[in-house]
Amino acid sequence: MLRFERVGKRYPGSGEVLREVSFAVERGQMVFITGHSGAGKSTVLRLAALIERPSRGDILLAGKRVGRISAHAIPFLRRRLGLIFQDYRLLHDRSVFDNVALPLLIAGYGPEEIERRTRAALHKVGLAGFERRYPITLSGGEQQRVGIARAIATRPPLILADEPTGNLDPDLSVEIMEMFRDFNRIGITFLIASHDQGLVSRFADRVIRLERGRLV
Amino acid sequence: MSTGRPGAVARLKRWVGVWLRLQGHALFSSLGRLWRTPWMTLVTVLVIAVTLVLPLAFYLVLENLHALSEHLENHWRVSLYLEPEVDRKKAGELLRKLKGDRAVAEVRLIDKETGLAQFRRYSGFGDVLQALPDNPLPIVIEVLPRRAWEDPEKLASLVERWQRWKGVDFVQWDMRWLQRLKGWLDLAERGAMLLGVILGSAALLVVGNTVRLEIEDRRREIEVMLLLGATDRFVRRPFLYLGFWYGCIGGGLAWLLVYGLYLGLRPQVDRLAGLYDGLYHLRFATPGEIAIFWGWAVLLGMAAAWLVVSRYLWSLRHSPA
Repeated sequence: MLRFERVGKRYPGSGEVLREVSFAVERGQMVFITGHSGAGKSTVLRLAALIERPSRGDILLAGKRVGRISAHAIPFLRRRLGLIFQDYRLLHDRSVFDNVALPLLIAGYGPEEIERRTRAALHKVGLAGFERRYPITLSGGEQQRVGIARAIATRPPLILADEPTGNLDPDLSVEIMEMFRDFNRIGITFLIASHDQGLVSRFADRVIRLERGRLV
Repeated sequence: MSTGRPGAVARLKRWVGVWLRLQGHALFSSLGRLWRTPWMTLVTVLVIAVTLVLPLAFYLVLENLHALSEHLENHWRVSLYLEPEVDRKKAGELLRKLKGDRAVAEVRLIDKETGLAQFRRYSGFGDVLQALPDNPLPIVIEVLPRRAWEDPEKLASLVERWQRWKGVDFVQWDMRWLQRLKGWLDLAERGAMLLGVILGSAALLVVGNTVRLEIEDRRREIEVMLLLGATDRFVRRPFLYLGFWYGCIGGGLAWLLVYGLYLGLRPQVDRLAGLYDGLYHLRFATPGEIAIFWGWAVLLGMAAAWLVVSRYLWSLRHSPA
C-alpha cells in the first residue's frame, strides 16, 4: 500500500530530519508512528501525503513511485488518500455538510452523489443531523469527527492521520481511535502518527518508532 | 474498435458533464461571494468603471470627429483665384480649358459681383468694402475633381499644373487643412490608444489587487483544497470568475457612464451642429463596439485574476514549508 525506501529528508538550514527510513504499510493494517516531538513523525506523513518530496530514496504509493512524480499528477494521487490533521483544518465559513462535501466536489462528483456520500460519511462518524451546523459551534471531538468524515467521504483505501487526538482529552481520544478501528475492519488502511503510548499499545497492529530521524 | 468507442464517448460525456458542473459552481459561488460583501464589490466595480470610462469616451469623441471630417462636403474642392486684371472673357477661356480636362468633374465661375455679394453676406465686413472705390475681389473658378483624382498626391500635381497657368494668381486647396485635421486626429487616436493601455493596466492592477486580497482572505481554504486533491485549475477557477464578474460589471457600468455623458452632451452638440446646417449628429457606439469593449473588460478582469492566482500558487510551491 505504502512503502518508504531509504528515504532521507533535509531542510535547508535545519539539517537532516529523516535518515535512511524504510518501512512498508500493507493493505488493511493499522500502523502507528511514534517518537518524541521532532523525531520526524510529521515529516513521514507529509512525505506520504506528497506535501513534501524526499531528498533521498523513494516512496511507493499503491505500487507507483511517487518521490519524484510531476506536480500535475499530485492532486489526482491525493484524492486516493484521506488526510486527518491534529488541528482538523476545517473551513469555518462553511457548514459541516459543505466541509465534508469539499473533497467530493473537487473530485468532480455530481450533486446527487455528493449529497448521498456526504450524508453517509456524517452518519458513519455519528454526526447525522449536524449538516447545517458550522464547525465553530462544535466541540473539539465533534470537529475532529467532521474532519474524519471529510477524509472518508471519497472512500480512500489509505488514511494518513497526524496526531489526530493531539488536541482531545483521553476519553475522546479513545472514541476516535475506536472509530478508526471500525473503519480499519472494513478494509481502510491507516497510518497514524501519535506520541500517546497508551493509545498506541492499545490499538496498533504495528508500530514504527522514530528517534531523531532514524527508525529504531 | 466498435467496443472501444462507446466507452470513449461515455468518458468524454462524463468529462464534459464534470467540467460544466465545476464551471457552473465556480460561476455562481464567485457571484455569491461578491454579493456577500456588497460595499467592497461596489467600490471595486466603480473604480474599474471609472478607469474604463476615459478611454471609452475618448474613443467615441475621436470616432465622432472622424465622422465629422467625412461629413465636411467639398473637401476635394480647389479654388483658382485669378489675377485681378483678368476679365470675364479671359476667365471664360480658362473655364473652357478646365472643362476639357479629364481630371475635372465640375467647374463653377464666381465673378466679381457674386464674390462681393457672398463676401458681404458671410464675412460681416461688407461696410469696409463700401468704402473702397471699386470691387477688389478677383474672379474665382471653383473646380471639383473627378473621383479618380480624389487623392492628395494626384490632386497636388493638378494644383501644381494649374498654378503655372497664365492668369492664375494662386490656387487654394481646402484639402490642406483637412489633411492637417486628419493628422491631428491620427495623433489624438494614438494618444487615446496609449491612454487606453495605461488606464487598462490600471484596471488590471485594481482587479489584481482585489483578487490578491481575496486570496489572502481564503489562504486557509486554498491550502485545505490543495490537500484534498484540488488541481491548480480548481483553485484558480473561482478567482477567474471573480475577475470575470469584475470585468463584466465594471465594463457594463463604464458603458452606462459613457452613455450618461453622451446624453448630457448631445443637446449642446446638436445645437452646435444646427449652426453648421445640421448635417452632423453626435453618434453613440454601435452594438458591435459595445460588445468588443465589454469583451475586453471581461478579458482584462480574468487576465488579472489569472496572473495573481498563478503567482500565488507558484509561490506556495517554491517557498520553504
